[in-house]
Amino acid sequence: MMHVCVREDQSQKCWIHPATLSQLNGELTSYFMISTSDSDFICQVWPNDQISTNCLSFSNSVFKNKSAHDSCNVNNYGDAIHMKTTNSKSLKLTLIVEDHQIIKLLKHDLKIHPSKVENMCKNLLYKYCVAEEFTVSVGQTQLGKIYGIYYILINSCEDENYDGFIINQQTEILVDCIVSKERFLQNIKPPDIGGLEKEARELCDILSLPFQGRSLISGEFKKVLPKGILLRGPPGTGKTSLVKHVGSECNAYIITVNSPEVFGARPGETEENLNKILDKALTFNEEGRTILFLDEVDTLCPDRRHLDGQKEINLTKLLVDFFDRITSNENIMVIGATNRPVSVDNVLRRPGRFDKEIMINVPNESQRLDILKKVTSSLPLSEDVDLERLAFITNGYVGADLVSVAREAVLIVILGCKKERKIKMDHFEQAVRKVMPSIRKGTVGLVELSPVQWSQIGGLSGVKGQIQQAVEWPIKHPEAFQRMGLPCPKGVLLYGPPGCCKTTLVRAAATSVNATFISLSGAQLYSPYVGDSERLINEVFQKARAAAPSIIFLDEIDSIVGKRSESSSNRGVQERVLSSLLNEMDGIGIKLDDKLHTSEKVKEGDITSSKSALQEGKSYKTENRNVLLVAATNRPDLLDDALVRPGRIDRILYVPPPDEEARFEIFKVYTKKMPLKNVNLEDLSKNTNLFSGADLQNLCREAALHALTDSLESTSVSMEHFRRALLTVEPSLTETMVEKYTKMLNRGP
Amino acid sequence: MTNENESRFSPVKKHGHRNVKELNKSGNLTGSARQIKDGVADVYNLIQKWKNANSNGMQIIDTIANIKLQYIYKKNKDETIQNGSIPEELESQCTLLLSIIQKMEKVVKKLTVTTAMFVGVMKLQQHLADDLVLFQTWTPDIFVSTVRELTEMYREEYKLKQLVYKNICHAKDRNTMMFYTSSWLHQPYVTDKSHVLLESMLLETGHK
Amino acid sequence: MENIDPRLKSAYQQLQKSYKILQQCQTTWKETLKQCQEEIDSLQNLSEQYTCCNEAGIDVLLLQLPDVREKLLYKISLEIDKKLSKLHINMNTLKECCDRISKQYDYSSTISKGLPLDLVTMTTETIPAFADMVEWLNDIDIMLHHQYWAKKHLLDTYTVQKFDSDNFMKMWNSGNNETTQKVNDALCYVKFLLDDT
Repeated sequence: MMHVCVREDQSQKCWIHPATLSQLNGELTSYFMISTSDSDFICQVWPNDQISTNCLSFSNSVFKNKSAHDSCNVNNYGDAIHMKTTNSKSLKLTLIVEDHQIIKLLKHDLKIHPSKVENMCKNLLYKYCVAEEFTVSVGQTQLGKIYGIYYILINSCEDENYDGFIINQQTEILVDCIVSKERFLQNIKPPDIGGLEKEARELCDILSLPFQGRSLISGEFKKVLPKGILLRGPPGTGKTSLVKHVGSECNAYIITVNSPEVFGARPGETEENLNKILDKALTFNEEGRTILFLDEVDTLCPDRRHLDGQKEINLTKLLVDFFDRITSNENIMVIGATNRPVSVDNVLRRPGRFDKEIMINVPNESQRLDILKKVTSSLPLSEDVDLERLAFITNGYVGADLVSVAREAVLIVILGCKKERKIKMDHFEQAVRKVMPSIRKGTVGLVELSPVQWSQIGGLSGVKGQIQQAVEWPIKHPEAFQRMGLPCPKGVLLYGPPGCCKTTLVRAAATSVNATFISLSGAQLYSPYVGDSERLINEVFQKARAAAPSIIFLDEIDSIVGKRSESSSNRGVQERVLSSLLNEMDGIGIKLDDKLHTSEKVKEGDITSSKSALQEGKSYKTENRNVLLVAATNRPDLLDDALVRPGRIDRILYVPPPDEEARFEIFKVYTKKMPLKNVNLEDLSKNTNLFSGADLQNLCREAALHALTDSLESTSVSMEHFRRALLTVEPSLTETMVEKYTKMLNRGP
Repeated sequence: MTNENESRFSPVKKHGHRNVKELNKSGNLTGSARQIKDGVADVYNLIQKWKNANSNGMQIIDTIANIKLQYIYKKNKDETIQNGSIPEELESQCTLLLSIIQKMEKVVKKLTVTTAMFVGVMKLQQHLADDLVLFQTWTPDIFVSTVRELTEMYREEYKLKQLVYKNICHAKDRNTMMFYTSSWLHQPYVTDKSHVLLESMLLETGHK
Repeated sequence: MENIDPRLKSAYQQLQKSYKILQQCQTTWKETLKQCQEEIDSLQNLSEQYTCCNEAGIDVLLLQLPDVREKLLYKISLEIDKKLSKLHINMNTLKECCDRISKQYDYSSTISKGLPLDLVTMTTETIPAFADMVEWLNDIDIMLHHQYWAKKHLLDTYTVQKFDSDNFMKMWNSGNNETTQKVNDALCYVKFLLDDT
C-alpha cells in the first residue's frame, strides 16, 4: 500500500519516485492503474526525484467510481498496478454534455457528418489511455469547454487481453448516446422507502409501461396510458421520497416544482416561471424519461370556489395546456402530491390529466416497523432495542415523525453521557415521548395526558374490568375479536354521580393503551360562525381515523349535545352538532376525499389483517382501525335517544360512588404522601358513607390543614385531625341521588 | 475524345494581319485603336483617382463618425442638449468631404465621356462596316459594354456617396452610423466584377 | 558533451535535435499567432459592421436605394470569407508545428525507454533528467494539439450572425499563456543542451 495524493490536473500524469517505479516493474511512459478504496484511476507514470519513495502524486481525470455515490473522494492509501496497454482499435462512448443546445447540435452532426463528432472525441482523448467503464473528465480543459463536453464514459473496448487502450488517430469511435450533464449528475442514491413497496411498484409499472414491449403496445394504447398521477396523503408520509425512489429506479430525470418558488411578485411573473419549468420539462423529455413532480399541487392550482374574489392566477390553465401537449409524448409523466385533494381544482382531477390517484396512508404497524428498520439501519443500536415494540407504541406516527424520533434519540445519546456509543431502548422511548406525531399537531382537542396507572385508582374493580373490556381489549387483543367475529365497540358512556372519578378512569384506560387520545370540550366545539362546530367535529373524527386506533373523549357530554326537541329554536346549534356527531359515529359513510384507507373495503370498526403478512404465511398481526368515542356525564337522562343506542354507544357503564372497600383504597392512595400517625383507615372508610372520591380527597386535605392549623411545624396527621375534618366536610352525594342513578341503571336508558 | 473537346470550344479568332506584338512595338497607333487605347488608360487612371478619393474620404468619414458618436453618447446621458443640433466641428469635416464628393463626381463624368467616345468609335466602325478586332479579340462593342458597365457601377456608387455625405451628420444611432461608414468603405455597387472588367481591358489593349 | 555517459549519447543527441526543433516551432507559432491576431481583429470589425448594417433601422438611405443593404451585406461577407481563408492557412502552419513536435516526442521517448531508469532520472549541473525532458515534450505536444484544435473549432463554427466578440476572444486566447509559459520554461531548462554542439 502506498501513500497517494491527488492533484487537480488536466493531464493523465502520475509522478513517482524512480526506485518505486522499478520496484513496480514499470518503465518510462508506461501506464498504471491506481486503486484506492473508493475508486480506480489510470495514469501515465513519470519518474521524478522530488516525490518521496512509496508515494504517488497523480491526477484524477480518468477514474472509475466503485461505490454508488457520485463524489470522487480519495482515501490516502492505494495500490498501483502496471497495465498492459495497446493502441485502441475501436471504442464505444457515451458523451455527457453541458446543455441541450449542444445535444441537439451533436445529434444532428451524428446523423449528417458522424466523422465530425468522432474527431471531436479523438481530439479530447488524444494520448489518453482508457479502459472499460472508466470516465474521463474533460469538462475543465480548454478543449472540453469549447466543445461543451463534460465527461466521456467509456462503454466498451474491444479487446480482453489488454488492460488499457491508448487512443490515437486510427481509433474508430462510436458514440452510443449523448446525455445532458444535469440528467447524469442527478443519479443520486435513491432514498429508502419503508412500507411503500406496493405503491412504488405501482408507480414504476405505470412509468415503464410505454417503454416495455414497444411492439406489443400499439400507438393507440400508448395514448390511453395514464399521464398524470396524484399522490394524496397526510404530510410526512413519504410522497416526495417515493417519487425520488421511482425516478431512480426507472432512470428518469425528476424536475421538481415547488410552489413557493414559482410564485412571483410582478404580474405575469408566476406564469412566466411556470412556463420556463414546463419548457425545461419538454426539453429534457426529448432526451429521455422525465418526471415532472408538482409538490403541493393544491397551492399551485387551488379550487376556484375557495378563492372568493382574489385575483386568479391562472396556473391551472397552463397545466391543463401542458397536459394536452404531452398526450402523445411517451417519455414524460406528471406526478402531483397534495395533502388536501379537496383543494385541487376539479379540472385537473379527471382522466387525461391526473388520471390516477394513489393514496399514501399513515403507516400501519407493520409499515412502521419497516420504516424503523430502514431508519435505524445505519445507527449503532444496543441489543435491548425492540423495534417491534417501538412500532407498537408509535401509533399515528408517519415516516417523517419516525425519522425525527431516531434523530431525537441520537441527540439524547449525544447530549447525555458522552461515553455512550450505542442507542438504548429507553433513549428511543424518551424520544417518542418528545416527538409529537404530525397528524396530531394542530388538531383541536389535544390535551396533555398525564398518565394514570390503574393501580392509582382505588377499588371499583367491577367498573375497571368493564372499561378494560370495552376500551383496551379491542386494541390490545384484536385477534381474539376477529376470531369470534366481534366488531369493535364504537362508543362507551360512563355515567354516575359527580366526583366519582369517571374522567380518571378514562385517562387510565387511555394510558394503558397506546391510542391517540383526543379530548373535546364544549368551549372548543362551539364557535360564533355558522357551520364551524360541525366542521370541527368532522375534522376531529377525520384526524382520529387517520391516527387510529384513537379515543375521542367528550366530557360532560350532556352540556354539548342535549335532546332534540320539537319546540324551541334557540337550541338549533346543539341539534346540528348532535346530528353531525351521530352521523360521524354511524352515518352513511365518510367523504371519499377524506377516506384514508383505500384498498381494503372494510367497514369501519372491523378488524383488518395486513395482507402482506398473510401472503408470507407468517403469524400476522391484526390491526385495529377503530375510533372509540368515550363520553362521561352526570345526567344521562338528558341525552338524546338516538345517541344512546347500541351501535352508537354500545356500552353504558355506571360508575357508582365508592363502597367501603373502595373508599379504603382511595384513602390509601390519597394518604400515601401524607405522614400519618395512628390513623385507622378502615375506621374512616366505615364512617364515610356516601362520600364520593372527590369528597374523600377533600377530607384528607382538610385533615392535613387542621394539622397545620394546630401548629405549622407539625409533622404528622393524626386521627384527631381526621375526626375534626369529618365534622366540617359534608358528603356531596345524597341517598336520593344515588337511588336515582341506581334506578336509571335498572330501567336501562 | 479530343475531338469532342475541340468541338465544345470554338477557337479564338485572331485577326490575321494585326499582331499584338506588332502593335506594341509600333508606338504609333492611329485612329480608333489609338483612341481606345488612350481611353482605356484614362479609365484606369480615373479609377485610381477614385480609389484615392475613397481612402481620403474614409478618414474623414471616420472622424465624422467619432464626433457624431460621442455626441450621441453625450446626448443620451444628458437630456439638456436639444434634439437636432449639430456640433460645429462637423462643419469643417463636411467641407472636406464635399471636395471629395466633387472629385468623385468628376470621375464619373469623365467615365461617361469615355463611354461616349467608345460608342463613337464603335459607330464609326459599324459605319465603315468593318467589324474588326482592334487589338486581340475584342470588337469595339465589347469595349463599349465593358466601359459602360464600369461607368454604371461607379455612377451608382457615386449616388450612394452623395447620399452618405448628405445624411451622415444626421445619423441618429450607432447602427445607422456603422451602416454609413461601412457602405463608404465597402462600396457595395462596385462589385468584384469591376476588377475583372478593368483587368481584361488592360490586358486586351496590351497595357499589361 | 564530454561528461555524458556513453550509453546516453544517442538519447542526448536525439533530445538535442528535438529541442532545437521545438525552438523553431516556438518562433513559428508566435509569428503565426500574431498574424492570426491581425486577421481576427479585422474579422471582428467586419462582423460588427455586418451586424450593425443588418440591424440598422429604416433610414433615408434605405428608402432611396432599396437594394443597398443587400449588396453591402454581400460585400462584407465576401471580405469575411477572405479573412477566414487566410486564417485557415495559418491554422495549417500551426498543425505542422504540432506534427513535428509529435514526431520528436515519439523518437525521444522510444530511445529513452530502452535505457535503465536510474540513468534516465539522473540530473547533472547542466542538464536536467532525460525523463523530465521527455515528459516536457509530451506535455507540450498535448498542449499544442489542444490549442490547435480549439482554435480550429472556433473558426469552423464561426457564423457572423451568432458571433460573440468577447466570448470568441476569450476562448481564442485561453490557454495561450500556459502554453507559452511551459514552452519557455522547458527551453530555459535545456539551455545548455541547446548551446552545446
